[in-house]
This record gives sequence, C-alpha cells and structure tokens, in this order.
Amino acid sequence: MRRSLCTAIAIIALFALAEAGYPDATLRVGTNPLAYPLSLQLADNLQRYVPIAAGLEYGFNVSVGYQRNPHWAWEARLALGSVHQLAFLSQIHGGLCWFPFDRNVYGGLFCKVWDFYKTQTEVHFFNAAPYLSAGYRFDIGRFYIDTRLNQTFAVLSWSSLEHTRPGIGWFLSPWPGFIPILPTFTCTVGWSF
Amino acid sequence: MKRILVFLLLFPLLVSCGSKNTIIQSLYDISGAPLVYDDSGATKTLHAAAVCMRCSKDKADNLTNMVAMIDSIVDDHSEIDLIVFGETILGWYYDPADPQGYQLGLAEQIPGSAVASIAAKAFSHGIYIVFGMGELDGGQLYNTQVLLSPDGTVQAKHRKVHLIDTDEAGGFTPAVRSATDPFSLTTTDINGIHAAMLICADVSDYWMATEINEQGVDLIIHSLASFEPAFTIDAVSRQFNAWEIFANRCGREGDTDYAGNCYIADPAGTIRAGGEGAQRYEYAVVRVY
Repeated sequence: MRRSLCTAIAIIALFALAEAGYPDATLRVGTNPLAYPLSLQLADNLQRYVPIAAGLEYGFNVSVGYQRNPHWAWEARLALGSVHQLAFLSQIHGGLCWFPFDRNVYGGLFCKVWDFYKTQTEVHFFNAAPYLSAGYRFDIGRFYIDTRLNQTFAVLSWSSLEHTRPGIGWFLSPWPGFIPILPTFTCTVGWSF
Repeated sequence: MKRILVFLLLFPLLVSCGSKNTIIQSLYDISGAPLVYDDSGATKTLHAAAVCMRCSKDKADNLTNMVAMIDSIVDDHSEIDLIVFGETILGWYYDPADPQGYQLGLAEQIPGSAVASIAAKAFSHGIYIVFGMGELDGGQLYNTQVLLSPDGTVQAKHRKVHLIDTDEAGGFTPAVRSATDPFSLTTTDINGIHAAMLICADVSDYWMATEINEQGVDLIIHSLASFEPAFTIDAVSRQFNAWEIFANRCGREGDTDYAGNCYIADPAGTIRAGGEGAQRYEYAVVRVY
C-alpha cells in the first residue's frame, strides 16, 4: 500500500509540474463530509446504508482537483478509516474529468485502489477497480459542492494471504445476488484556489 | 459556510451509536474478484457437505428429511466426513403465530430423542454430523448447535451468544460470553482440523470474533437461518482466515422467504461450492495446511 501511495503522489507531482505552464488553471481541495462519521460506531442501519451515499469512503479523506481548462480536470482522492471493529480501509483514486459543455456537468474515468486490512488476522486484501462517474459541481464563489454518481465495472484483486493468487472479474456490484448494479454517490465540499 | 462547518462537526453526534459488540459487515467485506486459493500442498483434509433444507413446521417430518439427506449424501460421496445442517433445523426458525410456544414445543434436552435418531446415523455411517436445535436445560431455552461424532456421541455443543430479535421473541436465552464456558466459545478438532462452531449472528459478535481469532481456527462450522441472497465473496472466512461451511434453509416459512444461500468457502473467501435455490447440499473438500 505504501508503494501505491508513493506512486500516486509521484504521478500527481509530475502532473502538477507539467501543468505549471497554465496560469488560468484552478486547484480544488475538498473533502467528503459523509465519510467521517462512518469510522465511528453508528447505529446498525446507518452503518449499512450511509456508505453508499458516501462513495464507500470511510473516515479522513481529501480530494485534490486540478482544472487545467474549462473542459478538463484531473483529480486524486485519498481516504483512510476503519470500516468496522475488524477492518481498516485505505483507498486512493485518480482520474480525469471531462466537462463537455460550458456548464459544470462532467463525466469522469477513475481508478480506485484500496487495501482492506483485516486487523485481527493481519491480512491485506488489495483491489484495483476502474469506474465511471457523472457529476455536477456547484460553484458558490470560491466554495464548491461537487455531487457525482460512480459506477465500477471491473476489479483486480490480490492478497497478502499465503497460498493465494490474484483474481480478476467484472464488478458492477459487491453483492450481485442482492442488487446487480450498485452505483454510489459522492458529495465533496471544498475550496478553489 | 459557518453553518456547513457546524453541521460537519455535529453530524457524528447527531447519529445514535450502535453496539460496540456488534460487527456490521460492510460492502468491502464481500467486494472484489474471487482469489485463487492453492491448497494443493495441504496436509489435512475433510470431505464436507453443507445442507440447505426446506423445513416443515413438524419436527418428525424434519427428522425424516434430515435422515434422507444424510443417506443421500453418503450414497453420493462415500468418503464424506462431515455433514452440517442449519440453525434450529427441527422446525421453522420463527413462527409468527406463537414464536415462544412453538420453539418450546420443538425443544429437547441434549441428549434427547432427536439427537439419538441423528446420532444413530452418525454412528452407522461413521461420520460427523452438525445440526441446530432448541435445547432445554435448567428451565432455559437455548439456540444450540450439536456436533455428533462418528461413535454416535455428542462431541461438542454450542449455544448461540449473539441473539437477534427473532431469537428473543422465540424465548431463547443467550449463552454467557465467557472464554471458560464450553458452550459459548466452542472449538473442537475434527480429523485434526481445529474448528469453531457458530450460529448465525454469532459471526457479528466482536467478543467471539476476537476470541476465535486469538485461538486461530482452520474451519468455521456455521449453521444459519438466513434469507440473504448468495454472495460472490465470503466475508466470514476472510474474517477468520479459515474455511467456512455455511449451512442454511430454503423455502417459505410464514412471512419469510429463505433464498437457500448455502456454500463452502476457502480462507481467501472464495466460494468452492455453493449458490442459492431449492433443498440440496453443497459438497467440497476442505484442505488445511
């Protein structure tokens, strides 16, 4: 996970250097407020369902976006938090948003890498999943609220557990027997610089 | 802006808190692509079947059905070592008309006549059999899982610790959470494989999870009455880093439809045999390093 995190930071730094020549570019720093309480001990049904409205992010999280011009923006996200008493989740996302109109509607293509760490057995379950997003950003002066729907479509999984080999597959929902397609919702609030 | 900041700070306080002893599984517990678990170098094996049974309200019908299932599995797999049935499998899990009276009517002491009839099958086939039933002991009613050994005796029994509202409505008493109580934290060896016995929501009990993980087990014998549909990844085997035999029920009981989710999963959470549907059994070879 540390290696993935360093790689992500290095990629973001490279992009930042490459984009230094765009003086009209905008930097956005935000956070997903719904994710914070999910690392606490909530009532059972809140703990079950609120994560879907929080983009499956738990705990501390930060989102950094770089709007190079009115049509394109890069974004990276980091979230760290306990999922329940037996698991800690680290996740990083990176991707590109495309604003096709002169409005704040956009579509995005992201990749999310997460480490689901079972604290008692000390086993890591790593996953990488590409996902598509569609969203709208409300600009209120320098303050912004970004709302979006996300849908994963495939996943590559591997683990630190002995005797295991990676697996890969389509991934439209974690529980297809219950719901075959499960988009999640993310709301990010933040500040533009 | 100030209002939003105040909301963010107060939101965690606005929501009520859940029980610290209840683990609420997340979607991450069942997420990902199935991993390949290579057990080719394992040294211990256990040929196991998880039974998904359609239950009648009548105990005698269910005992007849269990015996028929046991005979059928032995006919199909003469090498079978262990057959696991679901929770309170001698009847409906919950009778909305009279929950407590119904469970009291089904319950028996252990050993008793129901245990004797299944124990006779364990002995005649030389196999281990696990099943769930209501147990009467000292004026209390327990939701109990019994492990019968190939010699026809009761090798172990586990009493459900983590009751849910339907258990309480049925009049069940929880086992006391104590590492020294052999019926609340039940572990035993089968063919040299160290196994823990769990009933349904026991898996959500933080105390049990911690105790079992501290011991380290190879196998979770899990009897349930769960209406949830099938999973792609098994959260329980990942929780304990162990194989899991997930035995359940199917069909309609009163207002509840049981999807018949039943499976055997390896320690990576990959389901080796399983799915949902009608009465049947799932068979797999548990291989332990």
